[in-house]
Amino acid sequence: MDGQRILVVDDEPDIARLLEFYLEAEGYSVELLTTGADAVARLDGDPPNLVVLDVMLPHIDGFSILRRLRETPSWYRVPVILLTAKGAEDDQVAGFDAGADDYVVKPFQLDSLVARIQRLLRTGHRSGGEAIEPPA
Amino acid sequence: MIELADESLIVRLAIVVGLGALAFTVVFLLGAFASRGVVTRRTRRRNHVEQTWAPYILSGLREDPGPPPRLRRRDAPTVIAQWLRLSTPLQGAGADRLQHLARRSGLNAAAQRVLERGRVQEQLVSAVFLGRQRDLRSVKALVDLTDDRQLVVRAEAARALVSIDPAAGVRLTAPLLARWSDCHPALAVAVLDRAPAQLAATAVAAEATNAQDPAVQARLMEVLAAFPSAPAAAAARTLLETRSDPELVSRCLSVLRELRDPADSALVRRYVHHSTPFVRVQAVTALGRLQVPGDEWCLYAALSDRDWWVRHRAAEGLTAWRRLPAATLAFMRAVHPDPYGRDALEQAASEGPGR
Repeated sequence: MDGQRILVVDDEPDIARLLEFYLEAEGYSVELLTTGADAVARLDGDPPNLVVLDVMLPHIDGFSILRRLRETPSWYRVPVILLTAKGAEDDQVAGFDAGADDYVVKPFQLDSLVARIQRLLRTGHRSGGEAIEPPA
Repeated sequence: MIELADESLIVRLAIVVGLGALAFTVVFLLGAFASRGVVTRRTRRRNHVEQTWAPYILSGLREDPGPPPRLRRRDAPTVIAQWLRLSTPLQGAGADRLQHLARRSGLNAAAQRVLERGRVQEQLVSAVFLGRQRDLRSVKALVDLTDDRQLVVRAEAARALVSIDPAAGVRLTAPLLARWSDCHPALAVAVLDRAPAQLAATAVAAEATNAQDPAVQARLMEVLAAFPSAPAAAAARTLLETRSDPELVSRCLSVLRELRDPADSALVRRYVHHSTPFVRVQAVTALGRLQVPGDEWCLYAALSDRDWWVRHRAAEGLTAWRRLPAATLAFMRAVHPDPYGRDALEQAASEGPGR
């Protein structure tokens, strides 16, 4: 986990701060974005090792951002965890259809989120049933 | 001379008015700057307090962060609100650690003081916090708040009591919800939502059955529709046998609709020809959900009702009827004697699942 970069996109400053603190304490390097527009603009830059993405963002939702991410060649293989208060089955299906690798509903357990992050960093984003290593 | 005197009077008047306007403007601007200064100082103070406490709270997620920062009385609402924002998205070990840390830091005691003496907004945040903390020592203060003249404060205090001890909280809250005529049923449901559904339904059903005022009973039955259960059904059936108030009857029918017990079909059918349209609407909607064989013809007849909503609900019920063959439905659409009934079926068929 040394030096692995996680991008957190959440418009609630307290949740973003909480995730930043906890993940940095776990040894990750964390980048925070608080708007969907910033997240879309970020797709022009170097991809992180993993993204934690809120769904309910103002102006552009997490599902739309995720679809754009999967269409961006350099970001296609980045594992994405959706972190959201929308826990209905339809929302989870929509999240997986959009290309999410995992779906965590708020309220959530921090240790469980960290375990999911560690698992995805080991296995990478799955495409067509095969595990693909994220870009170095 | 008279003209000169008039002119000097006008000039003096103009000077007085001008000076008055100038003075008013100066006072107004000074007041605006002063209040802006107060707001700015408050915002800076709040930011400073949050920045002081944030590392302490966040460190507490992983380990013992040591002694807490000093908590001044006037800063307690800020810290409590911050604590809630950070802990609400969490559950499990992280949430438990923060709960324990809040107690140790004196926040529970501070929240109780705010509950007793704070402004409305501060009282609300403290009530939510104490409910989340499940602090038994705050029960008395919360019970006192259920007498507050503001509904939002009463409701939040009641909700916190239900969080702290669901069984005792529901027993205490259900009679209050019956008394609070200004409490919308949706708010009542929110007050009870932290309690097990069966517990809430039993308590509310008892209140509904024992109340004398049909308006109170109707309101409580609307709450019970959110807790479909045996106690809710029993209350609905009892009230349908003993009461005739149309609003109450329609609420009881909506409870039976949610429960979908085929045994209620005969009871519901009695209301398909009620004189009040919204009662007939609830009756045909309930029959459409119960789907007892034979009742589809009751809905077919209701397609001739003089009220549009009754016809529409009857048509929806027929379109969604699981054991009704498509050919039978098509036959109904073709031969129903009432053109409005045929229209209703046509519309429901075009809106519903493909038949």
